[in-house]
Parts: sequence; C-alpha cells; structure tokens
Amino acid sequence: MSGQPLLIFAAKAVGILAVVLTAATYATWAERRVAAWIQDRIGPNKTGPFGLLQPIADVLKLFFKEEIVPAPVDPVLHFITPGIIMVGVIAATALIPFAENLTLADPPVGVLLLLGISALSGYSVILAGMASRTKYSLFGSLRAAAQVISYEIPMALAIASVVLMAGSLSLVDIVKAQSHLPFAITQPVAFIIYLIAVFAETNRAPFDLPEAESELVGGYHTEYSSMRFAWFFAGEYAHVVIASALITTFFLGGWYGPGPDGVWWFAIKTLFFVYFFLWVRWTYPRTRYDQLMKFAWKVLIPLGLLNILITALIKIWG
Amino acid sequence: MTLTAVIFTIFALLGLWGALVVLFAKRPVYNALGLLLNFVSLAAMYIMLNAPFLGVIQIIVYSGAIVVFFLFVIMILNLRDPLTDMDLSFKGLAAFIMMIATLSLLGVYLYVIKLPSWKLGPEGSPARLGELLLTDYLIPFELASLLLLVAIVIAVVIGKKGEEQ
Repeated sequence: MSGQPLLIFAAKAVGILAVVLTAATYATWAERRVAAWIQDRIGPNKTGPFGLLQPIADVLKLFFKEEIVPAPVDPVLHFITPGIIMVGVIAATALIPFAENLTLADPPVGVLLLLGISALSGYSVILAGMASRTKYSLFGSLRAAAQVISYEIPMALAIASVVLMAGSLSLVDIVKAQSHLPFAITQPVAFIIYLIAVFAETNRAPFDLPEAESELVGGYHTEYSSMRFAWFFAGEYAHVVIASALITTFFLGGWYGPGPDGVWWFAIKTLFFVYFFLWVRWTYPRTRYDQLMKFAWKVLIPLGLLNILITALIKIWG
Repeated sequence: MTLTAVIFTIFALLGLWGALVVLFAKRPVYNALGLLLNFVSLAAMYIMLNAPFLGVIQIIVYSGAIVVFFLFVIMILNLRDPLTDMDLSFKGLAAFIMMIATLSLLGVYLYVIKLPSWKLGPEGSPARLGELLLTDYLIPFELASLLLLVAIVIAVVIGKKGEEQ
C-alpha cells in the first residue's frame, strides 16, 4: 500500500475482489458441468451459451426464496455465522500476490496471517451447527471442529518447510524464491501434505464429513435457507478458489512460468487447481470419520515433522 | 484524533466488550465468543504496538485453536452431563503435578524479569524474535516448552485413565 495513491489502491482492491468473487460464482457452474461430464451427462446448458448464465439465475432464485428460520435456533448466532466464512475469504484475498506488482498487502508475517484467517473462518461451520440446535447440525459442527483443528497442523507443517526454503514469512518473497524451480519439485512431500490438508480445510470431498448428506442431511447448514444458505454455498466455492490460489503461491511459483511471467500464469495455475478440486470430488468416495482423523494424526503430522527436520538439515549442510 | 487513535479506541472498546461478555453472559457459547472477541482485539493491539508476530500468533493459537477447543467442549457437554462420570481419584497426583508446573512457570517469569533489559527492538520482526529466543532467552524458552510437554503428558495420562475403566 505504501507509495500508492489511495484511489488506485482502492480500485485495485475492488477489482481483485470482483475477479475472485466472479471466479467463485462460476466455480459453481464449473462444478455442475464437470460433474455432468464425469458422470456422462450434459449438465446445465440452457441458460445462456453453455449455460453460462446459470449462476446468475441461481442467485436470483435464492434471493426470492422464502427464508425459513426454525423456532429453536439461536437468533443472533444463526444470523451472524453465514457471513464469517465470506469475511475470511475476502480478508485472505488481500494477501495473495497475484503478480509482481499486483499485491494489495505484503506484511512481513503474511504466511502466519493467512493461517490465522483460515483458522478464524472455521468458526462459521462450527457456530452454524451450534446455533441451529438440531442433532444433524450439531454433529456436523462437532466433526468440523475436530477436523479443522487436526488438519491445520499438517497444513502449518507443510507451510513451515516452504518458509524454511524461502527464508521469509512474506508471500511475495516466497514466490520470488521460486523464480527458478517451484517448491512443488523441491518440496514434493510438503506439496502433497498441503494438497491433502487443504481438502479437509475447505470441507471438500473426500473429506466433506461435516456436511455428509447421506448421514447428516445437510450437516451444519441443514437449518439454513434462501440467501443465508447461499452465503455458505458461495463461501465454500470462494474458499476453493482462494485455496487454489494459495497452492499456486506456495508451491507452483505464483506468477513465474515458462515464457513471459505475469498474472496469466497465476490464473492458469489457480484454475487448474479449481478443476482439480472438482475432479477429486466426483471421482473419490467420501472417507469414514475415524479414517480421516487417523490419517491426519498418524500419517500426515509425523510425515510433516520429518519433512521439516530433513529440510532444516539440508538447509544447514546443503 | 489521528487514525491510529481511532483504530485503537475501536479495538479497545471491542476488547472490553468481549471481556464483559465473558464475565456476564449466561450461555457458555456467548462466553466463548466474548473471549474470542477479546483475543482478536488484543491481537490488533499487538500489531499496533509493532509486534506483528505476537499479534498473529495470538490469532492462530488463542483465537484459532483454544477457543475452538472451548466450543468443542461446550458442544460435548451439551450432549451429556459432565460431572456424573468424572473420576477424581487421581486428584492428589494432579495437584502435585500442577504445583510443579506452576512453580516452574514462576521460575521462568523470575528469570525473565531479572534479565537486565528487554532486547527486542522496536521492529519486533519474526527473524529478530527467533534469534533472541535461541540466544539470550534460550533457557526460559526451553523451560516453557518443557512445561508444555508436561501438560501434554498429563492430558494423555488422564485420557488413558478413563479408557481403561
């Protein structure tokens, strides 16, 4: 922000936010098209060319739906929670380095700030279930709370190895450290751990147990309808877009690429990972809950610690 | 009023409000959320005092993990009565361990207080903090981690105890 006139900074902020939210909206369209393609169906193709106006129609529909708030809910919490997830996503947008000169904020502790924001956005899922006061929602929340805490650790461990490699906690410095070789190649173990943990963090299949519809109806958002439900829905897809952008930042060298560097490389890599999220959801079955927890504590965390140790040793002697 | 003063006032009021909610709210969920509000406001204060690392760690550890655990416990306690199936036969041992833990924490504080001066510069950057933790403040730092290790072992012992019965 330093040195820029306030107006240009504001314009950048609004522009980036618009792009990210549009991407999140169109991720819902992509989800349905990709799901249809994988299942040998056609998917939404009537609203506009290739069904491209479908997300707009969906939002309009949700706007005009009747909002039903069940009597036993906690009115204050029930009202607040759908917003928390979007606040988290929007706050994270400010930190992502899209290109060399297209970063809104580059604090010296950017990586940690991101982890903090991701920890705080977990509250939306946890509180939604508690506010609803029904058993399905409560079980969804219980699962979400345990899952978010468990998978934050391997995620932080994977990022710690990246920070060790880059020698900085600033996201711009981390991308710059990858100008020759992305960390996905030099840190393959951390890359895989992060990729797995991110699926749990975003509540996406195969780790979408907080909203497992076959067991919990809708999980934490069972008692939400109309636009409040839409906030959760949009928040999930925005989270997917941001998570893909972060994978690109941490492990794939952000805006660097073969040929001319620039924001287009960032966009291509991010969109690939958004597709990857959809691809995994429609090809992998959901895991069982005990498998999910055991995998985090007995496989990912020891592996992450070992990876940090080896990275540190290589840094000292290499 | 400068912009900094305005921001400070906002967070100070939010933090106070959170603290009052912790004390006076009737439902445990609101107590926990009041604590969360207080922690986040405190983190903002740290950042304004040129200690961004401390502020962000405050958010990750206290707001992100500890309050989630509180909520987790509140959720579980809502499901069944907490006090009927609690076994307190290890009370004496627990009290002894707690005493040792508290005394060692006191030792850490005394050690830090008697150090001639706080050497953390005005910038409080993570690199400088890490350097200080591994040189001048190595002993208190390691003592604190030992204390945490003791706490973890106690938690495992208590957890296992319930499992055997």
